[in-house]
Amino acid sequence: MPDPDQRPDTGASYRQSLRELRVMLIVWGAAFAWVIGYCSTNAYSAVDKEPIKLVLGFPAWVFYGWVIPLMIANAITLWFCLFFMKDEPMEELPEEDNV
Amino acid sequence: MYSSLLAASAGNAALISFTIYIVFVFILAGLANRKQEGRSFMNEYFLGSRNLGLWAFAFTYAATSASGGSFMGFPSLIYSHGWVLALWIGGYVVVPLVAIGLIAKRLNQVARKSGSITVPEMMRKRLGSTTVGNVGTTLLVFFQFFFLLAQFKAGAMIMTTLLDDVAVFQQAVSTVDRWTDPIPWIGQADGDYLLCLLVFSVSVVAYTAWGGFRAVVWTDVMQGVIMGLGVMIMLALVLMQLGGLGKATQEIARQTPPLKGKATLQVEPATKHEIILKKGTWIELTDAHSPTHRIYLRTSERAIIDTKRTTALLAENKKANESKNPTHIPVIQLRTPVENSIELSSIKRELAEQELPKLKASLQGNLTPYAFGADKPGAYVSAPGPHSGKATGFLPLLLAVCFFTFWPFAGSGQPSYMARQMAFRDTATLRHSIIFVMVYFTLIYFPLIIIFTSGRVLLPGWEIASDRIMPEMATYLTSSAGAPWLAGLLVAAPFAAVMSSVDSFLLLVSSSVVRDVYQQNINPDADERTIKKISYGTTIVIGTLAMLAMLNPPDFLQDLIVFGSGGLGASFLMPVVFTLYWPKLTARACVAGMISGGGTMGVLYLIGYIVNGKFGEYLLLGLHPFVWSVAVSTLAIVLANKISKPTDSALVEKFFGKNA
Repeated sequence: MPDPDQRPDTGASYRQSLRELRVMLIVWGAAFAWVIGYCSTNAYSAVDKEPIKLVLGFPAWVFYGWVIPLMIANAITLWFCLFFMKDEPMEELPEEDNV
Repeated sequence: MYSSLLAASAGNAALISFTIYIVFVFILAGLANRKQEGRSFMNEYFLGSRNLGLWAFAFTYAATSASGGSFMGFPSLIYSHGWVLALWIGGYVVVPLVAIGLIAKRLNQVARKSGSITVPEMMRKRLGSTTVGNVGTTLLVFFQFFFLLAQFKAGAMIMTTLLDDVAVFQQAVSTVDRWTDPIPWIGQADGDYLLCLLVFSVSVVAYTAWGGFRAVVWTDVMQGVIMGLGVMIMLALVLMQLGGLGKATQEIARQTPPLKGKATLQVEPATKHEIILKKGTWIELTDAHSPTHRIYLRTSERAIIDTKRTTALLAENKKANESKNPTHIPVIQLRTPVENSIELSSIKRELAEQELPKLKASLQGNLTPYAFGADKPGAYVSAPGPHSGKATGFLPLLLAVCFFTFWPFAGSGQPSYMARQMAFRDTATLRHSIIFVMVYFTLIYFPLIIIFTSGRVLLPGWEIASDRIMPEMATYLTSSAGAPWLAGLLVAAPFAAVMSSVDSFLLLVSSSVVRDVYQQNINPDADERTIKKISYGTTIVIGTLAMLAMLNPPDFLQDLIVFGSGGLGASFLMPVVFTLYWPKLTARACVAGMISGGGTMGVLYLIGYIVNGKFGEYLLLGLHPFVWSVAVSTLAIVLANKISKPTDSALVEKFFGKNA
């Protein structure tokens, strides 16, 4: 049976990685909700709409359901990498190959 | 005449580009080989001394990710199913962030701390269990080898397409055909495929074995630049020739899927020379009900009218023998009215270039409409997209949900990407690389959809062989722009994509065999000289085995790719995530996660084989096997963890504690 008290005093680097993991999963969830949510109603009914609605040359559902979330996700990725993700000291390599 | 010259010119451009490209690859491999001097061989040969900077890490990640599928299979799907492919790759909006960011930093830290070279080794050392390492190695070699096989076939096929119009190549193919025809099994494969497979395998195995990881990374950088440039040039040419995206989309919205069927083709009177009807020959007919209206047919197999006959026969002996009636030639019939359209000018141009006598066609039986999308204008600009065989269309909503999950997370679970994530220099490199890959993927995948949906307007009727649409578009666009020499650069892009994936997979499998099997289980005290010989030898042997296995390849290339990559993701995603982020994870739970994930994938493919009678996945409740595999793997880890002994607290402290 596992030891219920096994709760190591975790390091700052590990805790920061966990925070970053949580934010990434939230971003994925938000993107999922937008893209699948929007497209499930608009992309699947577009075939019945004539004439086709275009935005900047794209079918409207592609523009609002893919191009816009792509641009927003890119902006969030930029923020995440430049301002949220922390640099950590990386351990030096062991001198010898240790099997 | 002009068209023949253009084709020959584009073909020679491809040969020249290809030769220059291969020379550069070997120069880079030689330079990488010199870098190995004075460094720890294993660290340098398999991980480039963990010193990858921004450009190297970002490009090697992006180029490895964009395999042959991105430049051959993906364009083919876009052409066949239209704008719904934007939803199919919807998950790519977060791929750079999630697929790289999910585990990269922790993986690099834990691998450095444990001095690991491979993913199974990292898991073994983190959990203090040789069983974890051995199970991981077995699953990695098994699934990765399937993936590798598929890429060898893709590489040879792309090369065949590129060199199709080169005279020297055709002469060499005839010689190979003569030599191999009498050989059982191998003789069944086409000579052009065999020749290309040999050239492709020898070059990729040689430079990978010689230069190791650093050569693979440097060539990835070069290949990544070629891919990016190729796509940008094609996008500019497409938009210029169509007069803007809006015009193209409106044309596509008018289109409806073609009909499929068979026809007899005749020429009267009989000719003195044999007539070869290439695959893709256009036939213009007058509509019996409306004399001003034209019907356009296109052949989807090669046919021949010899001097003794007036009726065409299927050209390939094998296909003619299999057919009940060899005069029934497979054709498609366009259904979209093409009067006053851009498509019509394309068809007219190709009809003029054929230089054939007037052909008569009689349709045999009823033509078959698409199972979804037939006679529906708008089918190519909406979801689920037309499909010839599935009544639910190309992408039902539930499958779209699966793919949104598949792309970011299956990407995280690929050991070939993990090997790269173990090799970057520092976290600043990682942060900047995610930004770079984000920009790169946006500039690659976004334009690919625009280019190949527009391809439906510029080159109609390629449903007959949609996997050829990339080289066909490259040749057409550059020839129309008056720069056929550019075709060489554009068609080098898919070839570069396959090569950059093959070299990475090859090195990954050999690193696992050398490090996790030989060094761990057979000869732990081997000196560096022996390890060096074993590493070179293993890379060559694995590459040669893959080539031999693909001499007479199976048809289900795309299924092999999905099975290989899905199996890797299913086996490694959750076990690696838990290994890195959950201090309480036990070795037994990790093993349970790997076996149940990979096993679920295998079982669902086995059921698929039993139900469908051919190799392919089984969509239980409409969900892709990857989704089931990840769910089962997660459940197995959580349950097995409850009934197993805790991991050594010293190991937990080492990787998670205050000083971790």
